[in-house]
Amino acid sequence: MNKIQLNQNVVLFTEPTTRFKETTLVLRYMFPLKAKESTVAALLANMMQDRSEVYPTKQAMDYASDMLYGLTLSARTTSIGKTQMIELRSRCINGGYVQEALLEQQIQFLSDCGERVLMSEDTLNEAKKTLRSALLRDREKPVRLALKQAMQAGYSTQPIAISANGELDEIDQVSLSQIKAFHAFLLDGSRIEVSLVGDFDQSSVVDSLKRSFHFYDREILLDFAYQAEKSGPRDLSVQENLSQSTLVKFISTSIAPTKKIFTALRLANCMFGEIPSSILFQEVREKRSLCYSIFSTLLSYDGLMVVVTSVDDANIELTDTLVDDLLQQFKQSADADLLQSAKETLLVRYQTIDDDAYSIIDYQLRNNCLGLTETPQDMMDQINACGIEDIRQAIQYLQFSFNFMLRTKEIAE
Amino acid sequence: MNLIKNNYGELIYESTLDNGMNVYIVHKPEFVSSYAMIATPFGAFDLEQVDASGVHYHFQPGSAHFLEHKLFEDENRDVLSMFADMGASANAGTSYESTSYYFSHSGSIEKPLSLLLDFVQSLSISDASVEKEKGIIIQELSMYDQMPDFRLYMETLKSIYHNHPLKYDIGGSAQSVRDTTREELECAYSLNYHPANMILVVVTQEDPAAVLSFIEQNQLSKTFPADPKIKRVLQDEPATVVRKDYTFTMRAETEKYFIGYKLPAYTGDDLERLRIESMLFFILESNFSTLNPQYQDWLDQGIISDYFSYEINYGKDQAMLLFANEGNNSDALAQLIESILAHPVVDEDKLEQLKRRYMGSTIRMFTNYDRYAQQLIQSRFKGTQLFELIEGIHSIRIEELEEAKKEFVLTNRTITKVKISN
Repeated sequence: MNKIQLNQNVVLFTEPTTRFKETTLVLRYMFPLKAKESTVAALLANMMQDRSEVYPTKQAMDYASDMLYGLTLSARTTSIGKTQMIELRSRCINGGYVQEALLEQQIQFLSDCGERVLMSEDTLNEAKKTLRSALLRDREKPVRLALKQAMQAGYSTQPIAISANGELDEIDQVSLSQIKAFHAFLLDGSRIEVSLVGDFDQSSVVDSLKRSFHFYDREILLDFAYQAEKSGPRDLSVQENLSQSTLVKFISTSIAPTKKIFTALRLANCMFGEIPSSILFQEVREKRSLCYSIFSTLLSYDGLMVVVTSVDDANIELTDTLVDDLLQQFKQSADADLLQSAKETLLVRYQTIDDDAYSIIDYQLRNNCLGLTETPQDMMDQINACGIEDIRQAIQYLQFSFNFMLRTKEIAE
Repeated sequence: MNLIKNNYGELIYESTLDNGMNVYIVHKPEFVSSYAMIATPFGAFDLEQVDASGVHYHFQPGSAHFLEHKLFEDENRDVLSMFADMGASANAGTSYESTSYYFSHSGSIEKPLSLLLDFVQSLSISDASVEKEKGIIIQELSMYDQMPDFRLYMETLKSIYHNHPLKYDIGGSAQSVRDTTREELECAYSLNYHPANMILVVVTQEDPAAVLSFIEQNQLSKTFPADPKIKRVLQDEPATVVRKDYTFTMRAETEKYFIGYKLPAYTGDDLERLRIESMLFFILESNFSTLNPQYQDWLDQGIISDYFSYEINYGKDQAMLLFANEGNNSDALAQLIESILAHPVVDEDKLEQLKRRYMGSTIRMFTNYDRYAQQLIQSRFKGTQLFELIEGIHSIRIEELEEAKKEFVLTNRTITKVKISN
């Protein structure tokens, strides 16, 4: 993407192209991830997509977006290692379909949502109800519940234990003045990235953004990747009234995403538990029918790999031991054919990045966070150059860090 | 090969092969991503079928889903791994009305497309492999069963339907899975996976004529038995609901409920039925979404929560209207719903607003290959063509909305609730 420095710590990334039928505009506010503040951020994100001072009712918001042919808007908050991000995403059809200039309106709409949020006791109370409901519903999903409990129990002093979506017991304590102060900080003090993909004229877009947004220079230093360190015992088991038990196993990778060997780690994770021919899928599900779903995934910015599966409680300890054994076997002998499958899988992902606007924008975000300038082609070259010895080297770093079981209540009693 | 006319600049070609398979090829010359989906109209609804000779066949609930699992099995190794070896990402899904198999990829489409056609068009299973799969499927059912949203939805369908297959989980039950036999799966396969019964959609950068030729060659190399011309047997379903009120308890964080109304089914023209379904949805949007200024009042007063939603399902042999909400005020909400639907507001401005929204959604669909392929296939299975349906929805007039209001016959109601048992 093209990079345009609008102000200090305010950057615009653009990808002018006629290939897509819509214009994708993403606004990101980035700031350090902190406990309690994350709940404020989550509430504010909620309010940003609800109503603005320009469109102070939901009906007015609907009307504005429908006049832009159903412009989509979503706000979310997420963590990237030690940093938290509020992201507003919008998509609007290309004005050429309807012979209307829609982009300027799209930019203005997003600016209204981000900068002119309707912040009142009413909108805050509604955001609190909505956030509370969302967090409660998350607790109803056993895998999400297990992951959250595991992160907080195993890594309580680490950023990974701070939920970017906030905490139930913090919601009521957040005041309107806190929300306003945090919003002012976002506008004046956070790192801002604006990304735009679609059919537009570069110079007039820059002018339009400067007219719609109030961007200033700001000083902010952000950290992203780190190595999560376990706190407390190696194993923990809790009980809930569920019909299946969930196993969450954290593995420390000790490999930063900026390191050259990280590509080998990505391939190793793919081989271990990401694709249908992976070790976990074949050994745990296909050969032994122990589960429907099992996977491993990299938490790249936290220096961890995590294995998750849900099984009958009678099989959870067997599954736990099996996963341990499979990792040890993987360390002793990594299969070249499986490596080739993993390579093909990852290569396709990079080959198709340019086919989707959000993929283009998210790939740029990854480079921004890591201070890299690697193109998708660079990544593909790294993948192709990776041999079985590189995989063996990477997986020697893998060490089991923390084991968590969310078990069915009846059996545990 | 025919180019389908449309107002969106989409290059989409349609062809029917000699063996009866319908093929759509969507040409995306500027994109390296490729995608293919092949589907059969055999889904969870198909518990009873009849062939051209009048012979009836009965299947266990969950058979279509079980068969989907088994089709991925090859004598030597599993098919998903074979796709992964090519760098293609494959999956499948069973709905009430169909089963689909698909992959996404980049680069030359021939190998993964060949694999897709080959594995879907042959079934090779053993008693042992069927038994092994039962454990996996039962784990899958358990996984969904412990989610309150899912359980509540399924219990609501059980509250509504006496006989219709909607009362069963798409995957069946642990018992029906255990009772499924290899012979039953093979029978279901031979009846429902004939090419004449199936639709293939390919989205590709490659020359459509070359891709079609490749598909034709692949098909010519195979022989198929005669098309059994299998049809779904529609169940007689009384107008009444099974349970007017039902409450169950399970582990949940909030109380939730569904208010369901069993509506009279529409047995007329397929395109018109789908248009009416859209009209009913427009009426619901106008009255129960943020388009209605009262929505904010309902939220503020706690009558609805952010969980509030609605759904209209207007099938050939059944129809239902569902409202979901969190809390314990189902009676009050039911009263509100019924008072509104006694005289729902429809107006020209809102109709135009919703049509603009729909236009944007339609255009966005053309870059979401999965949704695009599903819409092409489902509209065909439902008896129409996608662009015909799109234009049909755009042509909706206010007078038609006024007429469609009468479809909201709310005499058969059920309220199903989940309470917390933590």
